[in-house]
Amino acid sequence: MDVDTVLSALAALAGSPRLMGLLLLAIPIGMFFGAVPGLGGKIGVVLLIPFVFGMDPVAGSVFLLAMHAVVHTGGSIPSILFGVPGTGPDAATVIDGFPMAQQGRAGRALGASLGASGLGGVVGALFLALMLPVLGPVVLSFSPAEFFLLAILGITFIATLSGDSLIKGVSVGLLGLMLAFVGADPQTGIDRYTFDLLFLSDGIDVITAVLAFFAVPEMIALGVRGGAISMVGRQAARYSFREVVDGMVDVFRHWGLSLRTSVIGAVVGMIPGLGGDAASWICYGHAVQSSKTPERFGKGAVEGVIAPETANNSKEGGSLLPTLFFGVPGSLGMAILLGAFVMLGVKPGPTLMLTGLDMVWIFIWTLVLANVIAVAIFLLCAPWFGLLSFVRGGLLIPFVLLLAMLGSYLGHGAWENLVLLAGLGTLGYFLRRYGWPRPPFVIGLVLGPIAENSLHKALAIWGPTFFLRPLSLLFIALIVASVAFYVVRGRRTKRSLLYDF
Amino acid sequence: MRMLARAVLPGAVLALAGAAASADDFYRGRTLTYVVATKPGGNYDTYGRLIARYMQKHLGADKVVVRNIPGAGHIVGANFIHAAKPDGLTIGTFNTGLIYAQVLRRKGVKFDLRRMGWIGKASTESRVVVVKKGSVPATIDALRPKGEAAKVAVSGIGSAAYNDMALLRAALRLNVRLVPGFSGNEAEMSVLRGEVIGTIGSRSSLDDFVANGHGVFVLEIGGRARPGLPQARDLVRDDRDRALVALIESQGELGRLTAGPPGMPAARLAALRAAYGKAVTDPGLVAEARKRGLPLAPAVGDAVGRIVDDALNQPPETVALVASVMNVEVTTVTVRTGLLSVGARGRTVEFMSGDTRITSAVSGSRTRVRIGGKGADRRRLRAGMNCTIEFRPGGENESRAIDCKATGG
Amino acid sequence: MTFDGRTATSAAMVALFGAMVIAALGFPPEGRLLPWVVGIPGLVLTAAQLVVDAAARRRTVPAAGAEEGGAPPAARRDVAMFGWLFGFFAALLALGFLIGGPLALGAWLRFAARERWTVALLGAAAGWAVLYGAFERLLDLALFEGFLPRWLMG
Repeated sequence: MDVDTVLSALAALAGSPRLMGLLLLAIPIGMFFGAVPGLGGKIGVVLLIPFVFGMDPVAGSVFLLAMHAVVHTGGSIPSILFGVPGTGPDAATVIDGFPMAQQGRAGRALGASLGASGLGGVVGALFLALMLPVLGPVVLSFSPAEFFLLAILGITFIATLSGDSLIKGVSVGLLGLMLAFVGADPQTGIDRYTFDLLFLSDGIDVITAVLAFFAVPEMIALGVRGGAISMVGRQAARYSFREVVDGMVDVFRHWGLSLRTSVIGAVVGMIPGLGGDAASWICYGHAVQSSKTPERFGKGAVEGVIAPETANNSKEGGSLLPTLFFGVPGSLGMAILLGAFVMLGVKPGPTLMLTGLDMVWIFIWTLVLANVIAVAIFLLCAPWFGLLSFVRGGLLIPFVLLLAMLGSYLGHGAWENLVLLAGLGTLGYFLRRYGWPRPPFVIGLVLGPIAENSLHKALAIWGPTFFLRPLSLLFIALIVASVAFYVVRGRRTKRSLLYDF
Repeated sequence: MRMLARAVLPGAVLALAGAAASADDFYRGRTLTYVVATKPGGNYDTYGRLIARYMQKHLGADKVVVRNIPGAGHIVGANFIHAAKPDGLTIGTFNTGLIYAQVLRRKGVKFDLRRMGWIGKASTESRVVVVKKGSVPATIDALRPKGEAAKVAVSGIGSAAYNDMALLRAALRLNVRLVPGFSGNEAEMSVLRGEVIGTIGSRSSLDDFVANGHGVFVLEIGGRARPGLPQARDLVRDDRDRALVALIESQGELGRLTAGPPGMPAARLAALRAAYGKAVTDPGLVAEARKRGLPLAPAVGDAVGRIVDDALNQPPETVALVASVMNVEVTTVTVRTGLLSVGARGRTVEFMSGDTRITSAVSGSRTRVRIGGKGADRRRLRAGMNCTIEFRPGGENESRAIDCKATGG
Repeated sequence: MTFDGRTATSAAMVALFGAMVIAALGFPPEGRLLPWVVGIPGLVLTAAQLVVDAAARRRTVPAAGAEEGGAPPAARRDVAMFGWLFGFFAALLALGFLIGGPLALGAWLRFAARERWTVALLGAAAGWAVLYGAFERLLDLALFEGFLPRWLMG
């Protein structure tokens, strides 16, 4: 790595008013697309391509990259304030972020998410930079066998996230897994549980399910309870701006966790085929597991906000790796970006590594700067956002419901998702009312398809001995350790975690 | 084909422009909806948005709105276009692979490709088979190993790539095992990792992979001949195999279709075709497409409809063949034949499926047995009965349904 | 409530798993495997939970007998809330986002939340403005038109 190239790239970026101008323009756009549920970065890139066409490669790429990098920073806003995730990966932020808002600590949650996003983005970019030389063999060592085991590892987190009742938690997790089977079976191609409805043949939409299990029940509960989202009066809550900064400092108070989850997020992002949702949930599960007081999670633990938010942003840096290095996109969003790059004249692939390294460094710096500047912009607005959680519930609920329905509809343009939202939302409300934990459901729903698909691929490629690969054995060890950890801890606290009565 | 298109196209455009002159005013002040049967961002979306933009210019429409209606492998979008009001304000694009869906009468298909108002198609894309760089031999024979089958990564069961590979395997007698479920570029990653020996896809999607040195082209299906790369049509001998290759080629022939619902008024269809023709030959669009690496080989109007008709008018033997080829690992085969024998307590039946003698398991709970149109117990099946049997080939060849005529007397 | 919501929820979970496990009987053998590997333990666990809930209920019911006169107010608010929720969905499905959205917003604000007419109308107008401005004009993203308009336009 040539220090000269690195620094001259930074100078080229920061020193050019035009490039910085584009960067600054891209940030609010990216945050907007992240904040409106159902839109997401992919649509943002697609809609911006006509505007970018004709720009020189560097300018256009900087613009699109900057926009894409801050999508999840924006996505955390509705997640924390209303319990409505802006994008799929932001759902994990809802679990602890929204309860924080309910406790009058919305500002702090926003600050934590902000700081985490910024840190994650920077670490992701760093990861990209460091991994460049060793990339090839690392990316290539992750095969369907490892995807399967990674998904299983994530699934074991269901137990950890079951709170007070293991039976209820695992049941809900298994329900998520069952619903993941809706749609075409990868092995035989036959539709399962679709009732011959075309709408279900692609499976149950994750955003709709998350909205149904988190946003809708919370809004119903709020309507029943009355009052504002924050159950703590505004006077009792601390002064907003300082709160936000406090949240940001939290990220550094938990620096070990923040760094770990940033790296995990970048690694998951680097592996094409896992998907962004997996990253945030795996990191959330890790946060719960590694905490000395796991029972705080789900009730407003700030680590529950930090972990997924770092992963959301660091995975962007990670997924740029295979995209630029192999010309194989690391995620769907990257696929679209790749198309845009090609259109602009940037040719990803080994040739880029050889001759276009300075451009790559400009991209890396774009990620860093975009994340840092987003933090600054957001910091100014965050206190105002936080005030929303003190608004009368009756005033807020219909808007939030509308937002949720938008988010559910926009993903696929299918009105049937609205019906699904209503139905699952009702179930979600009763589960919430009677103490059934809901995060395991999303884990099952998100990781189930990955697990099943990868299992079938691994069996087809290697047969039943597929896990006898060094990396696979490592993951198996991790899974065993994870389960053992849970059991040992349960015994140590001497509480019956089996059922709550 | 491309030469022909280039010669015919301008003439067609002029003729259509004349016919469309009267309908010109219709679009002024109106919004055209262009439906894309995929989520935003893929190639269909890209082509669709590009063409939609230029069609707006040439139609004189107030606005063109691109609407993404994904689902069930383009079927939801195609259903939507087919069911839309035929006033010429809704058109759209979907995968040519829906031809397979219609030929095999897949559930949920509510469109009839024969009747749709064909506007044009934007590209011709051959299919290519790629194997990992360094494979020995670096030819199609890599897919004909003696002994254990070579593994090929393809997309989900029922998708275009899966169907193409399944048909190719039958046509060229390849010894491959399809590993499905790889979406987008995951198949290429799998080849890179050495888990599979190769994959199949459209030429433009695999060009970069080969150019970056990761793979080698070993076979092309469709398009014009290139030196050093064999064409599938040159490797097949008998009619059956030729029919299968022709079906795969027709897929590539009709790249990036644009169509409207059946029943559009002739003048408006002509206007749309004229605008389409002008749009795809517009220098702005051509330049943009070239810059984005999107191949163009357009055709307008009836020419497209004819190719679709040909592809859909497969003789029943080919339909059965396609069904059985693609069903070997998937769904069911239906035969109408006499029962050769019935096992003890009706638990098995024997019959001929084509030239093969099949022994099929009859389940008490899962097989639907009807005699003379009424539900019956499997113990009442008799040898010699004339029945329509739907069974799953492989393993026990379990029957899904057995409908027999009541034996007279 | 005349039935215990807690037990009913557990029963619903059992029913869900049961239905899916039984439905899997119709799948071919390979397709059936994983649904059963997941579904049958799920069935067992939820059944266990149902037993726990039912047993607990039997223990506490005599004590709760005194409260039974008329449905408790919390339950009535629950039902009312669900009524509004489904009404909201119905409005959007029938009239789409652009018409149904502001309508539902306004109705909710005025009647469910008992805000003043001005607030309700303002809210509805704001909703319409954002939906129209952001989606129809700016982003050109189609929003659901609603079944009634679809039926009316043929």
